[in-house]
Amino acid sequence: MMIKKIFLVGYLFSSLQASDLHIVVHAQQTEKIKVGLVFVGVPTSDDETMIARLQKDLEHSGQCTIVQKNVAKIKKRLEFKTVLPDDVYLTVFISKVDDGYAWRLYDMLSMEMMVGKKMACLQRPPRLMAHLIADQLWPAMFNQSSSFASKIAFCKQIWKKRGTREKSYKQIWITDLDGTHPQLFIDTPTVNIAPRWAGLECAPLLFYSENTLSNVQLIMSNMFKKRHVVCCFDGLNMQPTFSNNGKEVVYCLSKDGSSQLYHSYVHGLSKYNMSERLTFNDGNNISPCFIDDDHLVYVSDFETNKPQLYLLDINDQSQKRITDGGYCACPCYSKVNNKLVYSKMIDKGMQLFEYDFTTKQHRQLTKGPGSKEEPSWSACGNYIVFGMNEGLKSRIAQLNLITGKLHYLTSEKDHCTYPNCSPVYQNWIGILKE
Amino acid sequence: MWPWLQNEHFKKNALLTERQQFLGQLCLFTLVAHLMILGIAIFFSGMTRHKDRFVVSTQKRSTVYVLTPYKKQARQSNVRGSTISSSKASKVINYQTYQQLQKQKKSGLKIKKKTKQSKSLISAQKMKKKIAEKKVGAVIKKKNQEQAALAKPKLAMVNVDVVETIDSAKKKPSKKHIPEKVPVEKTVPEIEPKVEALKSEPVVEQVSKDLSDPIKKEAKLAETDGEEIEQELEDIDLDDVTFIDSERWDSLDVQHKIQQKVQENFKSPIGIGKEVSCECTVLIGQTGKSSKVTMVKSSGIRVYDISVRAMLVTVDFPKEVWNRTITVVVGQ
Repeated sequence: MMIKKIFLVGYLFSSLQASDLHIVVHAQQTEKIKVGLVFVGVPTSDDETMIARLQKDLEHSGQCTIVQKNVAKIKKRLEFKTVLPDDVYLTVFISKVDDGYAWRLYDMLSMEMMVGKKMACLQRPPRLMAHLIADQLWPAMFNQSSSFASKIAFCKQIWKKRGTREKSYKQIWITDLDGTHPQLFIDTPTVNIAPRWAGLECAPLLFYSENTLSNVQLIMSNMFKKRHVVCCFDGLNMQPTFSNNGKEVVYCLSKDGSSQLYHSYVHGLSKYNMSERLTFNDGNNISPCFIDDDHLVYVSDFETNKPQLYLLDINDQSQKRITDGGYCACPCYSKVNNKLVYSKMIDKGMQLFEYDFTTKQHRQLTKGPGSKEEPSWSACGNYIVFGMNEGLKSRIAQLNLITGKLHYLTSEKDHCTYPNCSPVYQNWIGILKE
Repeated sequence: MWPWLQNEHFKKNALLTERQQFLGQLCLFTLVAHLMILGIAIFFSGMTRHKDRFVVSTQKRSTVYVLTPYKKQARQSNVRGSTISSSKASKVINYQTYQQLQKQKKSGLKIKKKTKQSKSLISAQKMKKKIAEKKVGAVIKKKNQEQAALAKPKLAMVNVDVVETIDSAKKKPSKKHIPEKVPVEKTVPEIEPKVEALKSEPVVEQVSKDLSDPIKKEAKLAETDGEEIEQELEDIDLDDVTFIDSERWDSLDVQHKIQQKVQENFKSPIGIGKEVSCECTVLIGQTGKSSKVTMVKSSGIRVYDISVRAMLVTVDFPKEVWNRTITVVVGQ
């Protein structure tokens, strides 16, 4: 009997061991994911501004659709499902705590909290709070870097009457990453061009070039609009690029005739400010761009009489050409992607190209009418902001590399050029806080 | 051995002598041992069954599956990679067909060359045939002599096709030269028509001159079928072949159904990288809907994990996997 029992048990056990199928499936379609955004509590006007701004930031990415609701109270987790539709599987619950906000990301399928954080206000405006919360939420949801709190500086041409004639000037404006909330930053009665963000994350600075009667001088401005002349040689003083540690800068000077690159740094032993010339050719060397602390990319026409991109080693000043022919200009490097974006003449217009330092491959990013110039990577590496020139019109456009969509940041009526994206600063002071 | 066997009452009623007792004990022991072995075998076969996990990919690439005959489980060395694609372009052929196709591929080039050969080459071939026929004839004579010496060889003589052809004219050695191929003709009805035409095509072209009309008619049919098969041959890449056993073949159909359903319902979030994938275990209920979905290996992207789990909850699984647990790896 015992043997029979053992036999029966063994047979039953083996039959109950259902076979597991292991299947691999690959997706063939994509769609925007629906994310719920619920404010718990009674919102004030600032809270509503913050929520609206947060919704716009997340939707600007083109990767998700936000379903926004306000709820006075939620006592039980089961009530979560009644707040939002059934096809919303991911929800962010925001509530006000002390002097700040707390957000919690919930999985609506299992009704479990995945991650949550708090953010203190510290007298920041609600718009900035929304950007900061979005910068915290985005990596938690998509595991991607984000730069909702970064800024874009650009030049805007205006016409002012001076006596009997109208004179054109160029101002420098600052706007959010999606082109909203533009603010006038530099308004001097001259032409201001080529803004460049710099400085450490705790001390943001903006460099730009200002036309004078005798030269084009390099100006530095802090976020309180306090300006200081940095470089005032004869000719052009423009387009500075800064190393990652912020201690080295390479810029263009044309005091010796043609535009050459100069390297300024602090000597390690003597602690003196040193300046040395990097290029010694008859061509025009412009638009330097740091790749890492030892290498930079710049534009020069000394070899082919047409501007090409070159990779320069600062230590031994050896250089290697990256592009093969054509008219190439305006390089900008993204550390996140390890890629370079630049403009190249195709037919009669400039198009954006991308060079991958990992694969050493070039790829065309844009096609179609219009001349795309002065590209600049966003801090997250997901956007490229550039100047789009179509005939007499000149606008700032933004290319979303994930969705492939083009979005204009400035209106058709304004003549805007020279966009430059800032890093995500940790210290929001002056105009950044407004 | 067992206490109850030593019981005197049992000895009196059941067993009389010591020899009988010993035999009884021995029989009981062997019976129990056999039952235990049987139980263990069934138990372990069940365990190995549930470990039979296979991965199916729905990439667009087409794969040729070769069904290995008389094998329950194909050796891992024969299986190329760990994925089996079950796209619509996949084909399944048996092992014999695979071998024949390989031969055909090798000889296919030679056959094409033969059709374009000049008369001089053809005459050289005829000479070779005659030489081969003579050799075969000599071999047959030796066999006949050996068989005549034995009593049983008569039966063997009857069974040997060669013996029957001895009585025929010398032309028949040409058939003898084709004994390698004549059996093919006999087995033609057993094999699938496409394969059969492949085999007969080169044979028919050579033999059609010597044989009678019915075979010529078959040759004509074989030519037309051969054209179709040539096209299939071109489509089939014999270098990219996956060997599957009978068990896998049964589950391949089920996998294909599940993949179709999952692909219809799954839409990946925008902006997710191509190398992202996540693994989930799905417990399917009695109605074909999943009753429980658990994440085994996360992709690292919460949005992606949730969209996959939401999709698996809504999918209607086929009947073959009802009341079972399956593992699904969803990738880009």
